[in-house]
Amino acid sequence: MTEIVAKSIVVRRGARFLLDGVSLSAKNGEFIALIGANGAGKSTFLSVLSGLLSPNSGTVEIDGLNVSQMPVTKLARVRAYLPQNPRCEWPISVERLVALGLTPNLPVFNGMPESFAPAIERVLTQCDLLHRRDQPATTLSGGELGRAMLARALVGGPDILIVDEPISGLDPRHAFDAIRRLRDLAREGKLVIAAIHDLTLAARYAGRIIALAGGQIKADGDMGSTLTADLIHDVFDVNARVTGRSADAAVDFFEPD
Amino acid sequence: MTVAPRPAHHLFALIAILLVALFAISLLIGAVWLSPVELIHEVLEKQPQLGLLIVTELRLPRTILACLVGAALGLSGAALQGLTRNPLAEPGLLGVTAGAALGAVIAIYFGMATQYVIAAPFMGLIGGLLASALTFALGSGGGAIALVLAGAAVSSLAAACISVALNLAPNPYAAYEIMTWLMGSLADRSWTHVWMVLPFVVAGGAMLVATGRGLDGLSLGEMQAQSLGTDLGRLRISCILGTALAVGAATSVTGAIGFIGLVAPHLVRPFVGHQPSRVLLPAAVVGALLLLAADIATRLLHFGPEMKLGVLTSLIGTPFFFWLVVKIKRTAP
Amino acid sequence: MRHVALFLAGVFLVSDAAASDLRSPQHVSPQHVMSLNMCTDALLLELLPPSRIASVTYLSRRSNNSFYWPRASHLAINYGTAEEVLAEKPDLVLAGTSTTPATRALLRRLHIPMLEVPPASNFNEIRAITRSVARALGVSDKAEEILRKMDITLAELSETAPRPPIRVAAWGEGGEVPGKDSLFDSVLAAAGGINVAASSGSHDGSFDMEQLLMARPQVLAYGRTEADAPALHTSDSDNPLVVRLYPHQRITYPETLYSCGTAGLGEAAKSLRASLAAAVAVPAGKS
Repeated sequence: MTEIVAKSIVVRRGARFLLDGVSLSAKNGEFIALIGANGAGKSTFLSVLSGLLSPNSGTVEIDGLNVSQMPVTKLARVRAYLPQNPRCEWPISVERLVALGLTPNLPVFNGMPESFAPAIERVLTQCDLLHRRDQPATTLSGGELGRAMLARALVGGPDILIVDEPISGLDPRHAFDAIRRLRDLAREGKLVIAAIHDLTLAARYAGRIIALAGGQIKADGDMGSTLTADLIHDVFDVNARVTGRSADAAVDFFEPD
Repeated sequence: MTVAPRPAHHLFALIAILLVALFAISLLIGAVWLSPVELIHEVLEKQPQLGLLIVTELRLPRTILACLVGAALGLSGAALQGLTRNPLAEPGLLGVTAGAALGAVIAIYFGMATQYVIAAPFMGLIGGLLASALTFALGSGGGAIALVLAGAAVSSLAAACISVALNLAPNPYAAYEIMTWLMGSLADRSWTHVWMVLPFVVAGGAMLVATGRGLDGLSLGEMQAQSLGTDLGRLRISCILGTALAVGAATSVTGAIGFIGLVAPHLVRPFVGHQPSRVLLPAAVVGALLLLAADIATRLLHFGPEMKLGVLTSLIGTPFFFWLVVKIKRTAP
Repeated sequence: MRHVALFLAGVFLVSDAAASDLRSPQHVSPQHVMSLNMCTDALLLELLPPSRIASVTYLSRRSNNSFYWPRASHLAINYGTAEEVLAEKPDLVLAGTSTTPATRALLRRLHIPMLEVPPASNFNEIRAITRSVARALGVSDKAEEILRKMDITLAELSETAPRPPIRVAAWGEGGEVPGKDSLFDSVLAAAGGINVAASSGSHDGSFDMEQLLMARPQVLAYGRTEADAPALHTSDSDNPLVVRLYPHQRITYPETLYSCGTAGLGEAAKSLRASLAAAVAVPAGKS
């Protein structure tokens, strides 16, 4: 049982409020899609939830412990964070990239213990990267790099996965693949919170939706009932049509007036 | 699980052998040719003769100093490249050595060093710190090229200040010594210099070696590194302070030596799977090797006055620099 | 003697036509003479009373640069620029052959009477140059007087010279080694020493410590200008190996004073003789 609770998060930059009193309560097994227009505060909110950005006021607690007071290694083990368009700076092998996810678990001296090998192997298999394990990460395709980063995030066995735009820049096939993995992870018992811009995919795979606009939460609830054309109009200032539900859900957009 | 690329072991054995060989050559080469046979005879005699004294009091400290300084430069280059994810980063190009030379010049020519032996390496450290602070303040967040440009600006500023300082110095010959400060030299260095520099290089080196894990995390970018528990602020300070300690003190004794810190990490990287933490120590050893080779070359090539170390390191380093720039242009967005 | 003749020829050739007129006995000696070079400063101060000197360079005010600095402190000083010459309007300018060529060319163009004095590198040249400058200034008697004093001192030194000569290795303050035919060499020879670096055949080269030590000198001489002016090479004399091998055999010599060929170098040779004698009197370190 893992729970993350954010209370009245306020983030200010100068006179501007990036987040203005945002609260959230989520537990494991959920797949939450965070939607909002550009600049609505999605990335900021995810950073705060991950404990990477300190809000001006408000708290984030994971299992009752305030993230700003948690030792960084403990925090690193309990939640994994993936930024938008992650990249690998050096042509290290996929296997080594994935192994970086175990950094918080490393002993003070000496390198990677042999005991880490099974975990790495498992997560490489899970993300279909076993055949690419020795390939330099900088030569991977967009979809493969996305999976490699996901593997890196999963190798430490975190309970919470926070992802910023997991499908940006991916072709349809790989986009489906990526979002399906996230849903499967939630079904396995993890808590997955992802900022997603593709509303159709969000509607089909995520169970819960949170909509951000102007630094505030406009809606927070079950995907089927909460994602409506009115909400989309409020958040994105564009006309849309929501049809179907679950696996058949589709969101179409129309030209703004 | 593949822990280390197999070919690397052979390479490191080769590097170690090369280092030992160059060390021995450095002890035997100098203005005066001393045959090993002569030296062995002298060792066996009760009273040390001049030949052996030259080796133990002049060439041995010089060789050790070359290794120390080269290691400091190589290690610092590897750490800075890892920190900034910039293949052009190194203490020379980022202005650290020029700033350190300025600090040392102020300490030496205006009397501080005659009162306190520690003044020169200490001022070298201060100068290096200020220079790197300025370079990072100017150039961060502007991409790979902006940082190097900032470093060039800071180097120019420091070199100009060195010029002014030497002209204002009480000693009338000070101005002629600018070549040594800007191009580096190991000539006639003694054990005094070794002891002066050793604690700083060891302290700085330890700090730099400890950044390994953090640098690995940085391969994934700042946010992911932070999410893995890396304290970015502390990492940056360790790299910069470690560089200022090791390279600042080294420069106070040898003058500004460039390009070792640039080339050494690049030579090592392909053999350690490009992983930043695994580049650090080998880059230190390769740096020592390169500087030792350059110093031996200055003693072999006689074209009139002493050929400065920096000339040789530039001759090797600048073509490498050009090649790097071309490579970056090709891979730039 | 051939060298002396060549030098005299050189001096006269480069002088301005107006200046050569000064040598004719009918002409009045210059009364307002200006010097643009540290060595010609010394010559002026030696030969002329202050009333006839217009100005000397600022370098003469430093005690380490000139034997005559007390006198220079009461004189006007210049920084060697043509502007100052024009403002001062001297009736003769003394410049060195290494004074900024642009300045000398300008003065020639403006037909300012100028004597270009070459540097001296031995006592014969000191005599020749002192005499020819004195002739241009109209004070030949004074020149003979000071040269005679110098010759007496040199003769005394020659009689009491140590045999064999003391082996000396010298380093100038810039780290270079004075070579054969340098002024230092001549002063050292007069003092009873022999320049070990010069014997090795280099002409003002750069030696490193190894070479100098292998030449096995008896005394190490370090050129110094000012006591409190540190530079890269001022700590060479503290090199542990040097201290060990030559604990009491390291002396300093006033480098800048030795760089100008004036009659005062006779006394300089005498001081150097005293330093050398003191140094060799003490036993050397283990070697």
